[in-house]
Amino acid sequence: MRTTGALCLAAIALAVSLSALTIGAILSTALLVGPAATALRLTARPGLVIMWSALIGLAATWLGILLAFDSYYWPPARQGWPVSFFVVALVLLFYLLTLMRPPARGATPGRG
Amino acid sequence: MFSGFMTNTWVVASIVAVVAGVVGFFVVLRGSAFAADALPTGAFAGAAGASLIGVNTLVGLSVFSLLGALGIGWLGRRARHDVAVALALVAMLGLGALFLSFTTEYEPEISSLLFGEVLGISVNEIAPVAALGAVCILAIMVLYRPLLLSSVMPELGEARGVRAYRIEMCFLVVLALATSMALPVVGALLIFSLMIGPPAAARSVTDRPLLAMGLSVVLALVTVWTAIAASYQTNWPVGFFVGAIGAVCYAAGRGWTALRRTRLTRSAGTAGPAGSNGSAGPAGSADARARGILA
Repeated sequence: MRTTGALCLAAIALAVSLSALTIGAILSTALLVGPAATALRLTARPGLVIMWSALIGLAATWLGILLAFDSYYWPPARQGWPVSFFVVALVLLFYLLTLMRPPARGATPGRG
Repeated sequence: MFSGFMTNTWVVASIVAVVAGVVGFFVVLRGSAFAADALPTGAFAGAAGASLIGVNTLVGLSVFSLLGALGIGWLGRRARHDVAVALALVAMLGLGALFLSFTTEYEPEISSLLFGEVLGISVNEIAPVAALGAVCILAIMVLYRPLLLSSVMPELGEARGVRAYRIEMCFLVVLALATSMALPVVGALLIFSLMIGPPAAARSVTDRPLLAMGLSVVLALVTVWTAIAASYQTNWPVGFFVGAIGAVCYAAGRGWTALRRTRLTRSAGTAGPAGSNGSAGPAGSADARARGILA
């Protein structure tokens, strides 16, 4: 059990360092917590939760990069908006959208 | 060290220490250290926004920390508490990233907001800090009994008609006010250590709430005063000393508990379970253990 805990912590550390590269050290929390919390409200099956979580994370990052690239032409002109802002905003948007509907059958509302 | 411009520093830092000691006691008791960390860090983004549109920093801090507190409370009803805090935190920080990317002339103010600028406080800053501090202390005094009950035994509180959700909201708002008051003085990253270190140390020494709260205020005051004096002498940042002394306080408190526990088990082995220590009776120690788990 202790080995499992240590391995899990190591995996979290790796994930943090990866997402810190993408959207910064402080905002890496958003990518680590947001998609998983959203997925936990969608379904109760662990495998599906992980898949949904990865998909939502991917969608938020890709869309975020796209929007940040496009925002170069938004006001104030000739200055892009930060990628991290868009990623966080999308992650939160997805989560708030799942709050609109009741949690899936078996998905415990207290969990995500 | 006590010349004219330093007087403001001593006054404001003392107010901050008293408020942090009182509010921090409940932060530790309720186990909401993550919220106490998230609110200042997120409110920092409010300062960035305020400087962007040219408003007083304190306004930006208050608005953001209050919004953060309401967001944590609102989400906390629908999601697990730590998830709610994390999402509220990243929402504020995301906005902060946006504001910071729009401003250009912000660098020195950032570091002073993150790590505190206690040595350059003007007279005009005393009044708002004192007013906010008074509101915080007053709110804690009014809420004292229901807050204590719902922190230690939420189920019993509900049975007695204390709504845990309402209490949580009120407490988060008080925490937000304390945050925005203390943030410009000790910094976003260090108000946290002032709110956790002294109360945690005080709670490991005694189980009586009022005594622990008083002790936590005293420890916070000593921490801040020592930190200012040391910072004045060495020219090192105040934040470093606050953090270091807070950690030392907590280590001392834990050491005290460990010492007392070994003495207790030893005396229990020779003289039976009813030890000589007042709080060492079986009921007292069980209660203490329950609260230890809560914290």
